[in-house]
Amino acid sequence: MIRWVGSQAVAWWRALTGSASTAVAALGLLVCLCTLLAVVGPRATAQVRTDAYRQVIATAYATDKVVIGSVSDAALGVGQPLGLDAGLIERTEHRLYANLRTLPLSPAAADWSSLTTPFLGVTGYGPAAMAEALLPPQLELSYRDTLARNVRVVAGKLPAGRAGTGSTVVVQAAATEATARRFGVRVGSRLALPGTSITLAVTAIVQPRDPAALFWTVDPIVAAPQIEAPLQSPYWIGGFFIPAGAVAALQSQINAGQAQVTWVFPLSLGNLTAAQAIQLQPTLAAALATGGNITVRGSQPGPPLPVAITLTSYTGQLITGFEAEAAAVGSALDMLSVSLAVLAAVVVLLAGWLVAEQRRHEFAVLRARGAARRQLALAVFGGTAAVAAPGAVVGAAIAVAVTPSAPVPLSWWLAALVVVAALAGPVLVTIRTHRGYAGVVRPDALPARVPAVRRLVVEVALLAGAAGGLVVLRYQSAGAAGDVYASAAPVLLAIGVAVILVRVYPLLARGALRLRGQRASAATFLGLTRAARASVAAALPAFAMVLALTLVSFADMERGAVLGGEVAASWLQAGADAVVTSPGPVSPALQRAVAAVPGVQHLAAVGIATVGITGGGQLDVVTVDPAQYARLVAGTPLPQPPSAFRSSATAGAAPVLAAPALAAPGLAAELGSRPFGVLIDDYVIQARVIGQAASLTAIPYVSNGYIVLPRQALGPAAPQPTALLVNGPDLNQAALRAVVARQAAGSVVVFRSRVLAGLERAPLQHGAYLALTLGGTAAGVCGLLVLLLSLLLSASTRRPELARMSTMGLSGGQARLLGLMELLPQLVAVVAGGLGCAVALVPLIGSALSLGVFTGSAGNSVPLRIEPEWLIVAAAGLVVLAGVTLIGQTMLTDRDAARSLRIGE
Amino acid sequence: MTGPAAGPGAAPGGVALDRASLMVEAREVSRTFGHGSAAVHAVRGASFSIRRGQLVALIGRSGSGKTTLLNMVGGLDTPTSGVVLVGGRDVSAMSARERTLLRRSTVSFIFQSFGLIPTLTAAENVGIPLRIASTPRAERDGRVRLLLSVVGLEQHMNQRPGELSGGQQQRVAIARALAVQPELLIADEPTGQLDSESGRQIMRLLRTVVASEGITVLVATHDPALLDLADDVLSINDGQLTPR
Repeated sequence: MIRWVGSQAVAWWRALTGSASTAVAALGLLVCLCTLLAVVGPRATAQVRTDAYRQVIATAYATDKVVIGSVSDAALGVGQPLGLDAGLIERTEHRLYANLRTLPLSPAAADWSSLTTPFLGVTGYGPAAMAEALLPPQLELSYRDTLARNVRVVAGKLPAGRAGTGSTVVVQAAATEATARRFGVRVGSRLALPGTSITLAVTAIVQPRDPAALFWTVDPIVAAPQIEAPLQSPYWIGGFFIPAGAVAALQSQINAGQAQVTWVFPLSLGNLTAAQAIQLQPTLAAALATGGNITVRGSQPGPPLPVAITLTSYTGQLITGFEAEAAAVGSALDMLSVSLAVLAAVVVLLAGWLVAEQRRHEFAVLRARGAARRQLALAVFGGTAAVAAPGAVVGAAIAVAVTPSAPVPLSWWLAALVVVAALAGPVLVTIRTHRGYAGVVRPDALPARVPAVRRLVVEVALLAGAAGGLVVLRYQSAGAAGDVYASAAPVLLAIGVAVILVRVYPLLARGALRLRGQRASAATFLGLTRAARASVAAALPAFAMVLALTLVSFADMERGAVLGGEVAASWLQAGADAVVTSPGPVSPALQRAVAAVPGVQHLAAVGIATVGITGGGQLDVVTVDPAQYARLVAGTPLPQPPSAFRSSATAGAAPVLAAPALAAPGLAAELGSRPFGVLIDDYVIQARVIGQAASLTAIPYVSNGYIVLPRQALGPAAPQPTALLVNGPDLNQAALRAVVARQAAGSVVVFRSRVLAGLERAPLQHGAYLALTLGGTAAGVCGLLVLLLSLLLSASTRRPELARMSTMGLSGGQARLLGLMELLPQLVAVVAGGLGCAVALVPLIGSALSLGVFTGSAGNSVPLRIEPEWLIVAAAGLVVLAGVTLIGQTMLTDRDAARSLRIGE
Repeated sequence: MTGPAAGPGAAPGGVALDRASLMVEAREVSRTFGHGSAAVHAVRGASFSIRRGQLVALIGRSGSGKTTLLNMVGGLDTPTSGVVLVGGRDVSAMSARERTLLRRSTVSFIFQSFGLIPTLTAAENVGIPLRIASTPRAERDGRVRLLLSVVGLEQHMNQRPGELSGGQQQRVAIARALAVQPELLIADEPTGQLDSESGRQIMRLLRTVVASEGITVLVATHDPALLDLADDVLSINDGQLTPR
């Protein structure tokens, strides 16, 4: 039974595929691989963007991922004769939650609401409340509906019940340990609130269950008191929790217009894809605009009263910032995906062409016996569809399995391109080949020439179309994700180059023949002769190989730019190969010990102070020895200090003239070039910005706004060095760490290599680098497949000729040389064309690719540069692999001269 | 020449042949394609010999094994069993490289479909074997002109095959085959695509070549009208040499 089924299957397969069983099977495999390539590209890009988006979300502040509703106590309590109560607050929370249901809200249990009074004066506090303060402390009372879930009771029990009534309103309250310490209270303590009848009775001391939770970070005062107005008349402010039952009692005691009701609705953003997050923005904006409009039923009969609750969220800004990154990522990677899909389509097109060629004789016999071309087309369609359809399904399924992202429409369009090429290719070739009834044309006969006029018209149309597309691209705004023209740029460029190449490389062959012709060996002579007779059919493989080499080269250049950008970003973030920060002054002994560490080349001691400047404001001053600092940054990508800074070394008392200063990036423009006063200790030192400083924010306590001054310019006011900047490409990190631990316990060492590793490992950077590497490799493999298929296609004309040459004594080695000489002009032209395309792409779309986003420094430009070494490697690789492929193909297929002769006869 | 009725090396009447005068000698040569029940015995136990300077015709209908036999004689194929000697050398035991060198200098071929390279001129086609043999340019050019004049096509030396008639193309092919001064010329149905008059012209040219150059020619044909130009005839039927 099994044998019968097997034999039936084999018979069915042979009937379906005719004389091209192997080619059809190979076509099925190629369709599977090429569909996989077409589908996986855009999905992988979407996955990279989603990973980057989720990293942004994971590292964002919790307060950036919520919707906050707020309204005054008085506004919400409108129409309520006794004012607000906890029940109304809770009911409003439910209404708002329903209004915001178009957003990806966290489960309702994560929401919470609060009523917070304005700050109130207090008496009965302990002495700690006056420490560092000039005025008495103040506190706010906060009712929060989820207090019990967010605290751990350390002493006492949570406040509950209604407030007492009478001349004194006793309200139970809870305080955190930090608040209790500051206000000097414990369980049982009482605090009076002057100006009200409220007495707080502390019933519980609590601890936050999760100090980083939104419950605490939205209003951090309730977690721990803070000092308010430190430069003028400082005083402490803190918060106490009150129960739901106290809300109503408070209404008559406080200024309801200043009490704030707040609702917090956390958003569940971590499970969204990048595309979903970007699409969320308009929904978010609409929800914020209208979701707060509710009505409240008053105590009097009549229509409900409108209440406008203000809804705010920083999520929109978060997503907007990410969207720019996503667009940049999309441009670079979508360009690769589209071009790879086009390459894949050409591969299956050539494979289908091979199927049609292998069935040429079979169809010629059928045609001679009266078969219509439509019937031949159906026969070849049936054979290819039988493998192309399942191949495409399997390829797509694998692609979906390895890139589990949300559906990406582009991937299905590209897959459709591949499938259409696989199905239509053999049909079109069959219809064209069997136009006549004259039987099989000898494969080594001269191919019929396309009429010159028709060829010229087609070429001009292709050139015009490609040039037009490129012109539109050049003048389009850069960086829009899904920009069709940016994605298609390599394809458009390759079309134009291929059209020119197919005209040019036969001229190369003819020129070589004229130079060498009469002296050439048989292999060279025949190979160049065949090359000089290239047909229009060579345009498709030439286009594909140019595109493949362009993608390989361009991906290499992009990777090089990304790598270089990451290194530059690591320098900007770290400032030196190692930064040693000491808790105290850096001793000379430590400096000597660090200088002696193997691999240390340069060292600069750095002092830090926070100072005021004339005109108001503060900034950090970083003091260095100018010569030491100049030697440190020399040979690094960091900005080099001007000579005026390097040579400044005023000693002694503070100078009258302005000391040269270097400013942090961004601060230089703000300070301008006019002198300004630096207020340090009792000195006022004039300084003037003359250049930019390297990034020193790796040094703890140095903010983004800092200037670098020569230590000597500050004289005795110069702060003691507390940090060392160390450079050396082969720095022995373990030895440095050991020296620092021994000489300056408690010091912190930050290595630039760690910063760089962090950049490289970040999801966006890692994903993009991987995508570029795999994309370039896939392009190279596709290029080789195109080469192999075009060699197999030309084998049908080359084999009979080689067979006849073998009867004249042409050896196997000479036959391979013949093939190489035939291929050489096309290879030279393809290499020149491909490299030219890659070079042309740099200015054409370089500005549309914001590679800075790949380096963790989206604000810094990472220019795409032409890297000759990458181009040479790509070109040499293509030539070597082409040679190996040709030799392999001729050794495997161009054998058995006797059989070839018999077929030729 | 000895035919299938006599043993190898025996002359008609049983007189032993001088092996030095033999150009081709085949002893029990067989060629089988495939295996088992699907095996095809293209040539079975063929034994014959051809003297130097003879024009021998090999006749048989299509599929009788003529081309297979010619390929084994010319070193394009190796017999499944038996021995083929060409010019006293055992071709059946040669390596591929040795057979290639054999074809470069000793054996030439002519085909039914002429086998010219359509993109080269007649002169360039004739010069191909000389390029393969690394003949210096001056010598090559001279030999090409001589050969084309021998076949009467000197005026057409710069024309491509597409511009020549069938008979002219075959004459160019003959000139090309003679370029390296071979000892043995194997022609596989050289008149198959020609009309009868052109076919006879080609046979007469071969006859002339044999007489003037002393080349041995083995011609496969299924045209009985051409047999009277041959010195001898081998008949092959279903892979076996049969008495004519």
